[in-house]
Amino acid sequence: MVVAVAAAAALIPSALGLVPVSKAAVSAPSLLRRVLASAGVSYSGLAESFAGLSLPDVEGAGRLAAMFGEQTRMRVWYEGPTLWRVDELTPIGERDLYRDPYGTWYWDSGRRHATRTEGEGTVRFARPADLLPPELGRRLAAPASPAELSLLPTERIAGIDAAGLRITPAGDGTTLDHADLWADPASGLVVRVAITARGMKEPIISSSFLDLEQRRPASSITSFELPEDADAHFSEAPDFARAVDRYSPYVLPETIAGATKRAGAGAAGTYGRRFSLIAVLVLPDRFFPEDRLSALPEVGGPWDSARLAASPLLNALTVVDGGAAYVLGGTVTPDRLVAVASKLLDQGVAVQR
Amino acid sequence: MFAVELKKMLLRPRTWVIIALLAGLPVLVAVLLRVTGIGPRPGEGPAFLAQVLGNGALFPAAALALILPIFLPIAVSVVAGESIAGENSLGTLRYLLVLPVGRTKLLIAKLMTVTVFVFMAVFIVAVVAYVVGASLFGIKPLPGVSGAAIAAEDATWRTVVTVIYVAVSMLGVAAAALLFSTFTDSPLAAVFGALAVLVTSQVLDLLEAGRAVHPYLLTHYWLAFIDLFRFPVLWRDVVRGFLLQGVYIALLLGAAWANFTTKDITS
Repeated sequence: MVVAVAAAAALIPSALGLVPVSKAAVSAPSLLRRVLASAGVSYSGLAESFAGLSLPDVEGAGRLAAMFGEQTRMRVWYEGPTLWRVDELTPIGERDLYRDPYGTWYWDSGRRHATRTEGEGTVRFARPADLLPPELGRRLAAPASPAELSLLPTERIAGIDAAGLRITPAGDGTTLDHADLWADPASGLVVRVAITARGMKEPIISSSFLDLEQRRPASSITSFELPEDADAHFSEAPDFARAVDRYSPYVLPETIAGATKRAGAGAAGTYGRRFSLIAVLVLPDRFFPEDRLSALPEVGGPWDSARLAASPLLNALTVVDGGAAYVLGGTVTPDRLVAVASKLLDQGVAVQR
Repeated sequence: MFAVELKKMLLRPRTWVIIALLAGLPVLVAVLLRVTGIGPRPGEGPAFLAQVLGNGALFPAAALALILPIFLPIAVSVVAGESIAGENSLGTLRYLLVLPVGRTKLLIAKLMTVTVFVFMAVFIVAVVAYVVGASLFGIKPLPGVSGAAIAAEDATWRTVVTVIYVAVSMLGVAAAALLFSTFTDSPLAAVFGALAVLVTSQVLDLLEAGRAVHPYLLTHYWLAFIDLFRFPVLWRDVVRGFLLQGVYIALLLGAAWANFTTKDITS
């Protein structure tokens, strides 16, 4: 009797998940439109992401390798695109990013250190906030066309009967096989994302809310106050990509191997279209930590040296040639990266005076 | 019955040796930190310990985080595992039951005694840590994990809830040890049984492959008391931690009661 009661109590959370969900009466194109229009929806909640990309942990890459290689727990308060706070929770502390209309505050509880950065920069490394279902969902939904959409069964996620949408890119050379989104059919807010790479059966990146409230957070929570016992400094380039963008003397071309530049005006830029995106950085090779990449396989080609970090979804190629170091990475195959790098070296990069 | 058991526990030198050892570890750590001035690297090591060098107000929480994973559950297992099995091995259990004392009443008295021990041990460790932290590192406003200092009145209730949470987290281990204690007349076997449950839970909690069972593991939410020092407080795992311990306590004590009340002891 006692065992039965205790077992029943333990099973309550699972049993709640078995309560039938109401089927959303929304078409795939309509759901996509609502997702794309959800940037203004205020919310707060707790989310978890899991990723298994196994990227190399390189100095200056910030939390990139950890974010894409393990579980990330995030707490978010989002009022709008230029006012939000995302805490990356760790077992013994947290790393928080506060966004305001003029820039960001980054808080590291372990070091009790705050970093202020003015502006956002056109090119930057990914950060935990990018893995939140609404952000990741909108990014994946933006290039999708109606022909690439299909509906998935509705699921109850964080208390919401979320309508499911599958995006299957129509062959444009991307490593992405399909992306599944579940969104609140009323507000369009994405509450779960699962990304599956080509050749894989299970998602390689997933992100889901555990708790969610769709209402405006208090301003006392989204505004950062510098603690008295904390160190603080200003940084114009808080990550490697922005440092390259800010200080490298090189200027990338407008197109490389048929891929057109999407963002960036200097030594850091993103190229490609739809789901086949490539980020490119170029910097003087003396600032490039090549010795830290010695564990990666070498790639032959018309250059001094090159190394490849491969994963089912994201691939990255580093090339050193003629005093410059090139970093290329994106959702394309290694062969495509090698082709783009070869063409970039052929074209050459301009040097700013 | 409870008064008798409580008096017995309080008068046993072993009780105070265990509590002294529990409080001694954080004191030793504090002295080493003070003498060398070398703390864990920021963001590494046991929770809050990296900040203790600058503010002793954090030391009670740091001390509890130090003893929580291994030292405290071992101490609780020793006390709870001995409660029934110890009486059985000494042959005093049958005499106890010959007296007009119901088995359920005896089990409840043992359980309440273990509970008092757990709360007492956690409270004493926190108080000793506060005194040592204040003496060696000084007291400043309690810094929150999320940045801003925590107001004095907030700091008080957060610390009180932390002490209660850590103590309640130990009750699951105590219930496991008590259950094993009803199965054997060897206190060592009962302690070993509880520690086996503890180690199994901690190992599974580290395995990515065991993700589906993590929320049900006895030790999974133990360190969630750190969420009490965030702003705003993150209650999710703290509440789940309390509820999970409740389920384990009900399940294990129910089994202990079922076994103890039907066991052949007096013949």
